Amino acid sequence: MKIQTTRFGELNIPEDRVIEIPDGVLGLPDSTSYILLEHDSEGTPFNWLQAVDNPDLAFIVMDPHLVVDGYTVQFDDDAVERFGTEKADDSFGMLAIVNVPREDPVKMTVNLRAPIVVQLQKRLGQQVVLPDDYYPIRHLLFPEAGDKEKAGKK
Amino acid sequence: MLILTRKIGETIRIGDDIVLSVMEIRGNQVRLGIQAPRSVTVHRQEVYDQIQDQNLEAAQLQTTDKQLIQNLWQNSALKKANNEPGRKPEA
Repeated sequence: MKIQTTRFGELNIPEDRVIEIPDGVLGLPDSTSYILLEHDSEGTPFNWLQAVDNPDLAFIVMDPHLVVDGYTVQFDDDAVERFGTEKADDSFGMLAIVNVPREDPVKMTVNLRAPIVVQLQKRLGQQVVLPDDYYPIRHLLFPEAGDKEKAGKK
Repeated sequence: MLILTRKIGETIRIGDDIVLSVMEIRGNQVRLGIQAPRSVTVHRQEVYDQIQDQNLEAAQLQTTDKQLIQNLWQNSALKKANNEPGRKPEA
């Protein structure tokens, strides 16, 4: 199927790769279909999660396991049922949304508190808000980047 | 806004399936118990606001931002590969 995007122009995407997020992401409830674009990751773990139904809406996402060893999301029975699976198994993928603060871009962060959890067989996703104090909303991706001035700017 | 007065142990029912209980009052803090069906998500307002803000901000990023992130990632991966000891930010 063909979709329009403001960042990448018109794209032809396989329909069976679409991820449905029925509730949308928090604050953006109107877009409920997304596609993961892996074309320009250049060997890094960063991909675009592009809304299928909104050309302008896309997030930079990454697997949170690469940021924190042993990153886990606890599934209670309710959550498992909500995703329509019988039990919590390995068929879940996780996408954490990356952010770049305008005023200080090197202090880019990843939201580990509210990952988008995707049931991979059904390609059904939800932004799950984890209980307090598990993981930060703004986890610094490059803590050493604040040290840049000492390391010498180009 | 509807305003009700409740004592410890008393509850408020919202609709058919949401029950709000006053568990404990300590100084200016109130502990509330919330029973709600799974279709209803419950968040502290400030947490909800923060995540919403982060989402809206993240949705503004452009391909140049992604390039920046990828460059930093590659540099930091290179550093690790070279076994360069990580710099610790000074207080």
